[in-house]
Amino acid sequence: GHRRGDLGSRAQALSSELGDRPSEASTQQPKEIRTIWGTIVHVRDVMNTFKDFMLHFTPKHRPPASASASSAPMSDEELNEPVYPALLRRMHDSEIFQLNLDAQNLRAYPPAQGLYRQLVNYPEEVVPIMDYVLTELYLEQYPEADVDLVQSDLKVRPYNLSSTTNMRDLNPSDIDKMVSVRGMLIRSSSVIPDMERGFFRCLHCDWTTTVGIDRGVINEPQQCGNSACLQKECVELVHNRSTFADKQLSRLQETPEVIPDGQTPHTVTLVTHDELVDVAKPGDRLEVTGIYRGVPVRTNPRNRTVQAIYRTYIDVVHVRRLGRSRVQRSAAEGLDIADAVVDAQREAAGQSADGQDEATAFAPAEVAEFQRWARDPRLFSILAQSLAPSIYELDDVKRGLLLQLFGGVRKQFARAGAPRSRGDINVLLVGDPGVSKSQMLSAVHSLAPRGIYTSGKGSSAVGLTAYVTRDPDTRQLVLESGALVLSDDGVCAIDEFDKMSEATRSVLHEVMEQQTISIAKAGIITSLNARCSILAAANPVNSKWDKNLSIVENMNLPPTLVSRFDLVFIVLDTVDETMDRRLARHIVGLYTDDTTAAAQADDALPMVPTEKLTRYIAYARRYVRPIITDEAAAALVQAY
Amino acid sequence: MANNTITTADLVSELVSAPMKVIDRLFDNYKATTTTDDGPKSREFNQTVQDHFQGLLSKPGAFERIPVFGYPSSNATKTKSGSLVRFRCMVQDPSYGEELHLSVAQLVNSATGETKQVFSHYTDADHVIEEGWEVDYGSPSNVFTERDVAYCVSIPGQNEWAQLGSSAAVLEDTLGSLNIGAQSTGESSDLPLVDEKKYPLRGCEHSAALVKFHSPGRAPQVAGTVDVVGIYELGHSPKEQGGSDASAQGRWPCIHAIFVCDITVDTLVPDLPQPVAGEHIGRRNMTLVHLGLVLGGDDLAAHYLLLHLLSKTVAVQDVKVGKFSLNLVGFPLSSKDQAPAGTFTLSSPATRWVSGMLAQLVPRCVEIPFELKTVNSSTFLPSAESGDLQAGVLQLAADTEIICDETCLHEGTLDERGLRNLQALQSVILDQTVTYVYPFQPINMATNLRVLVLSNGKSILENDCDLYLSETAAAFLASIHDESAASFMPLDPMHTEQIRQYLELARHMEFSVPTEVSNAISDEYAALRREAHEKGEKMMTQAELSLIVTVARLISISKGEPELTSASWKEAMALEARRVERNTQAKAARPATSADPSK
Repeated sequence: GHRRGDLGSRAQALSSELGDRPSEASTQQPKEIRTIWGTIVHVRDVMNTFKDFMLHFTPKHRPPASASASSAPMSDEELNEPVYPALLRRMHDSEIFQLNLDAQNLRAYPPAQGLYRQLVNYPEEVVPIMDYVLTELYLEQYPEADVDLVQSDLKVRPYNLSSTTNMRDLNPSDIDKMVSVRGMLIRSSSVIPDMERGFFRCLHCDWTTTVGIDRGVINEPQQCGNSACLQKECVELVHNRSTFADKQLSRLQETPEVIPDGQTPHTVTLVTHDELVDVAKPGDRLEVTGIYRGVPVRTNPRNRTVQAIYRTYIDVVHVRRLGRSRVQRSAAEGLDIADAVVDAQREAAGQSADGQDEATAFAPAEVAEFQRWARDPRLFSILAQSLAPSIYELDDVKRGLLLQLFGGVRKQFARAGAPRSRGDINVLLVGDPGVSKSQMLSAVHSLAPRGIYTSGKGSSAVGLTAYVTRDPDTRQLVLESGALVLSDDGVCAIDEFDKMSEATRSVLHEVMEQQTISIAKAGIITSLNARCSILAAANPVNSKWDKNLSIVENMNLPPTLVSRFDLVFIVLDTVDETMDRRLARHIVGLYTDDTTAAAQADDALPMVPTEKLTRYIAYARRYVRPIITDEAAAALVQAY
Repeated sequence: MANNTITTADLVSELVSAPMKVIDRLFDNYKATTTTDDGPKSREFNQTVQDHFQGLLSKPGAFERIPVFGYPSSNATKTKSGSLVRFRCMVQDPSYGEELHLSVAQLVNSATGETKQVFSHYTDADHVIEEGWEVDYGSPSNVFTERDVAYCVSIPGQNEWAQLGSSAAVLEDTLGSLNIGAQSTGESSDLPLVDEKKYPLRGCEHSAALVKFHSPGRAPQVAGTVDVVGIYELGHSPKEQGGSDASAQGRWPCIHAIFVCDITVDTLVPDLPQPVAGEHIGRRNMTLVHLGLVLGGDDLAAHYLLLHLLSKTVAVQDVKVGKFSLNLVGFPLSSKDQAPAGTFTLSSPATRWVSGMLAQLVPRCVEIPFELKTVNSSTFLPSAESGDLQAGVLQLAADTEIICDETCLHEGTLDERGLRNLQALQSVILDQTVTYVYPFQPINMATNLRVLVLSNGKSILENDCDLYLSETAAAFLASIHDESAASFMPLDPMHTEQIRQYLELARHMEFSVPTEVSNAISDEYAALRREAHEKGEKMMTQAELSLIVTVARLISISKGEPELTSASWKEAMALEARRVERNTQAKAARPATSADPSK
């Protein structure tokens, strides 16, 4: 018979009522059950509507917004081609009998709008009917198919509900409804064999029976069912005749964007069944569609109590991975069957799988906002101003640092043995003490997706183990630490670069050009990735910039090292009365408790809050892959 | 009760001893007054309960009659299940779990068809149903409510004077069966179940309870402090799901919160009237004198210590202003053998002396000895890598004074964990953020902690301000022994209370800078820089300006002035000049006195 672990016992009862074999059932079943008890679901209506949808839905029903998002515009012919028969064909070819149903397609198809609401409110009833219709249609299309195989496996997996619920907003009214939540998978249990049918045999007369699961429990028959025997407490479970299903428990945790200030992330338990087991791994960002459940905490043997406390979890119906990098995705596609079906289905539904999947790591509204920003010609100035707003002026430096934060495109040449071309730029700030170099460094450090902030004084480049020593000159305690490996794929900010030891600097040579670190330890030479860009700050040779010396003499750094920095800024502490005054007013303004006074600065440009800026940088780093057009290339050649 | 008239006092004592009875009665009333079609609305009913309790407890003296739960009062083991308690606590883990609660269940009698509703709110206990009745699970009258469960601990570092006081006699649990552990009194080992990993200061005595918020009017904030009033019960933890043996569970101290209130200055110093306007100056001078005595007569250090005690962090744009971590240099080094083994108490008599004196003045302070073993073995950042949010040393309530003793730091290896710990402390000092290490996504939380570093030489941590103690002060501190500390006359209680109140009030004062003063400061800054440039001296930097403005702000509020005056600004300039001079002199003198003979 047909059974889905994710839908629960009521669904099972319903599907058994619908009949085991669609071919027979279609002739007689609708007469018996018209309306499912306690709901407004009319079985006949649901079946007809869904069948109509399956046969006649075409891409042109999709709302125009998402149609324009797809990469290639479709011809009229494609637009009028029904989607789902093609998917059934694909199911037949691939023998993966799961249909990922985009709920937005249901909503977009005028006759099925009510069905969408019913799906969300009564998933336990509606989904089995959908399964039933799917099986029926499949058998119509492929009458020669192996009915037994098909019947047990054809599943509709709805996804892409109109709204995703915030985990902390799930409340009692959502129980037994279909919900969609987003978060990060933080833990998964091992696969648990979950008994779905117990097979029992009477010890006396060998009478046998199977018992299905009811509210999480399989009740052992109290009495032998054989009217000739009727012995009590003589029925025994036979393990190898019972049936088991895969089940897995996982925890989904809120992502930082949705956590209110001062709160810690909430988590929710997911129960995944069968094909969805092990589809996602800890660390993946997911959008999970499923049924929200509440069950009593204690399975109390005594039935004479009202159980007060219930715990909640989500029975997962569909898993969608969000925001994977391109490389990882293509690798994963070959491995995960369920995922492959998701992607295949989406392509067939007329959307670019890439575009869809990537955009979703960021909320659509956020992406739209970012894209609006990107069109603003003042963008660069606005962002530069928003970087470390507490530091006054120094706009050019801020622009340089922004470029560093965005990073470039790393390129790996196909030719074997070719060097990797680094995409990140290194920046050096040289200047008088007290011109906020350190603050600038820490601002960048806090914005970068990953990064380490360290002081050149007493830092060793490899390893994290640190040592406390006494500085021979001042007799003060000094901390020795290492940093580079930890800032792979980020920004390594090194303060007091001029005070760094020769040996450590030589390691930097390698990092800045090859983006690797070679470690020779215990006879093994290994090379670790350190694909970071370096942001260094240094003081001039006599701690104060000497106008009488040349730039190189002032810098106090070996020229070979300086040449590895792509941008060098010389920041001088000059005297300019008006500037000084404005700066002082700015600083004093920060100290007024009344924050509005500080905010109404005399700039015309809008300010981007730090969190938004971080998100924007993360977004740009991940999704924007600029290419040099021919014209741009020509312009560059010309300029050179 | 013998007499027929029910007095308020009777009502209060019933509230305290049998709150569930009161609530049941309120529910019956409530049921009678509402229409039955849509069933009782639990939120509305919770409000009714809360109003009733708050109303009765606002009567004078009523609040103090509620017994206090938890450390340091020794009656935690003896609190009776089902009685009303107060708990002054810090929310360690606000997402300890969510529970759905069947608060109103519709019962139906299968024989007669009768229906009735049973109510179980503010308790986790299952309802026992009489024979013949069954729960009607399909009924729309069943009410499910959602509860936030937070793991709350006694506030780390809360000083004894700032704990809750109570006039209530200990309520002995006559049933006995609900108690766990031995029944002997006062010993920490007898406290109910606590999770050691969820208390910031590992190894220190504390108590903890699962607080269940029934009407989440305001979501509990992580590391927030509240006074909870609620019903005590030994309940079960949402983290212990799935266990089949019911008897093994349900032994966690739980408090079903009826209402929560903030800890205000009035609850800390209840006996003092609000000070009048001019009183600030007097209190300020008294505090300065006292701090001067503590620091061996170093007036400058006393000034800076006062400013430090008054500091509070405010986030403006991307910067935190107002923070003022202080490093007092010149404490005697403690010898290696004095080092405590991985606990959070100070060992050296001098640092313990200062810390003990400050404990009398601020509501909470935490001592962190920088002893390599302690730093290497403890975790400073809270971490949820294991699935459960475990506390770190720095998961502290806002306004906690952290006293770091660097005099016990000696040469040796700081391992990876120790390094991370120091970095965490450094980011508290510089950014006032504590990172909660959640799997795959660490979360930065803004915090508001004051860090005071006591060291022999300049600290390895970067602080907002450092000050070398005068030689007399250093000599005084070096001469302190445990015996001599006892002979010092502490302040009389009245004055102690006054200083406490003064510090709390001044710290939370609103502050602004008038435009004229702001302009004057700008002019002065520009002029100073020009002069220095002409003379070829070192020019004042942005950072120095920021520090002076911070000092000026703190001086202003220490005098009770809500606006910065030019007088305070001048005072700040003078104070900073003195400090810089003192530091330069001390730095020049120091290597000569403490230089290594081998050099």
